[in-house]
Amino acid sequence: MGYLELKGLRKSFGGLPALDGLDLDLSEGELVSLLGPSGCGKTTALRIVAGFETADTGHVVVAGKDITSVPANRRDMGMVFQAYSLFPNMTAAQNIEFGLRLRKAGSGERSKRVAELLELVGLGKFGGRFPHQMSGGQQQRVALARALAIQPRVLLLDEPLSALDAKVRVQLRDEIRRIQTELGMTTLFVTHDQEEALAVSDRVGVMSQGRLEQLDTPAVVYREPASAFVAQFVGVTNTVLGRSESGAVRLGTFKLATDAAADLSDGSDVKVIVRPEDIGIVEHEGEPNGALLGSVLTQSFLGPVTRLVIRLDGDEQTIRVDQPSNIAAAYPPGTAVALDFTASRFMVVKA
Amino acid sequence: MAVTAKPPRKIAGTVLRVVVLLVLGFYFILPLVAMGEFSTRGINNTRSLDSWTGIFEDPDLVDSILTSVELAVLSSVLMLVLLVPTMAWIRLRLPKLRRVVEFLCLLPLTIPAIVLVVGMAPLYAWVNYFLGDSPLTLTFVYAVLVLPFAYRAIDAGLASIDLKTLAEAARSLGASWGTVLWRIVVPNIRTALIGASLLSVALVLGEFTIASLLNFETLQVQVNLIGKRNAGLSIAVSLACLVFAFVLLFLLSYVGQRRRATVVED
Repeated sequence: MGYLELKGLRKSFGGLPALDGLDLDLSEGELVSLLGPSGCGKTTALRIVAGFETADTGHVVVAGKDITSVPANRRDMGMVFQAYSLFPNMTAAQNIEFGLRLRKAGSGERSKRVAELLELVGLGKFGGRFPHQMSGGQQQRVALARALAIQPRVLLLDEPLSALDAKVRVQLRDEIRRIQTELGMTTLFVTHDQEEALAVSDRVGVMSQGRLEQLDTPAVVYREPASAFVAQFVGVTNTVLGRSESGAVRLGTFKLATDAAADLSDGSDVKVIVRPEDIGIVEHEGEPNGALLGSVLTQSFLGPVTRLVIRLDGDEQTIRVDQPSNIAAAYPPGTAVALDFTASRFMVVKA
Repeated sequence: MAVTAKPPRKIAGTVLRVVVLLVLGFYFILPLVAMGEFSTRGINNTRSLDSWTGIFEDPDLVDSILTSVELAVLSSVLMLVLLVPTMAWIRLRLPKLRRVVEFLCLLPLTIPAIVLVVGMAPLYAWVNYFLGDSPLTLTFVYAVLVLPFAYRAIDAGLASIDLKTLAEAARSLGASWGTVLWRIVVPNIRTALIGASLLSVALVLGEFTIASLLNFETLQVQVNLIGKRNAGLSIAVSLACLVFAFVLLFLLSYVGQRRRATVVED
């Protein structure tokens, strides 16, 4: 039994389903991300946990207690919002102590707690500043401190980083993770940024059309996607169109032997999904030899790896291949190459 | 080219601005100066402050001034109490009703005062029966009368903050709806509230038709009455009233600023 449990949550807006039976369990101290494209229901799920929306059916349970019908202000949830949400008429310190004041904490306790929290989010000297005197990143740090001040049972993060610029985003996301681990705070993190989700989560739930497609550790979600949707949404993938043929998949002159094709009837269209780093490459000259052949179209240098875009012989499909940059240098545009992903991970699905 | 072309254009702009300012300033100031001049006329081309000192010697006038000021304050308060929670709630929870409420609030603007009175008179028979015939009962009409102006001002204030996010943030921290309204909404739209109150005060202090037709002795009714026997006094009161409104404007904006400054010191 989890610490935070979402049980069979359903919600529709004007007849359009936003959540279609969502079940999710978080253990105490765990950070789980809900990842998905916009409109997949992840924010709706979070808002139902926060108490800002009511589920049509289903329950939210925290520490064994059903809070489905508890109003938002009695749920003890700390929430950080996507939009800047600091109270403009209060300083950073006053924002942080707002929840403590409502809980009738004494002034000594309040100022001690505010100082601790400002220190925790790295803004020790900013207590006297108003929101408009702070940068976006600083405002979100204060918002985090404000949410943590009430010692919430669950921390809810609703895309708190998406309004920030790239560098601050990475910095703050690592800091959120550090603080969350330090405090052992059970956290539900909603994001559409897969890199963010993979980087900070204990588990990632990939959502699509109001349902969880997969819920697992970042490594498993990345390496062993449960569905074509997950494979395509998380990380960079190639989708190559082919045709099934006697228990294998034919891509041009190349036959990819795979068990996955066994259940498909001959001649049906299939998609082969494979990640750029899972494809081997060798230079190829002369006649076709049954391998997947193509020629390098472009190279883009990404630092440690270089991404080669390869046009497959015989059709217009292109495929992206990541190679260590020092090796990729040997394949300038125009080079004829043979690709190999027979040994690596790939996924075959019906087109 | 651009550099040489700019100064003449700039000069033309400045000249235009000065001309507009002079014309408008003249338009506004001239009547005030004329009122001041007229109200200080003495016998045989002398200057005298008799009309001005007369203001405080006329007990009916002093009474009516107090009545009008009380009415202005009460109407502003009633308007704020009615409008701020309603408008905030509609923005937060019932956005579909926004158009309806806006329409309702603008209605008093489209109904002539005389029509309002015809409708109100029977109602006021009851109000006076239950609450006595104090002129302060005019508060109810006036609070309705100022709705169109106050609505606009408060609506602009609410639109300038991210009300939904701020309210949700406060809710998640444990705030009741009352706390959200009092601690979050009101302080952040203070300027709009001051503007709405000021409009209400100005409107109530200047209102004549309804008070006169319902037979209440407010300031403007008195001024009209006095005007029939002592023009100098009525002009002095009117000018004082205008100046009072200006001072009020100044004071209210000053109060708004001072409050903010104290917060910085904390």
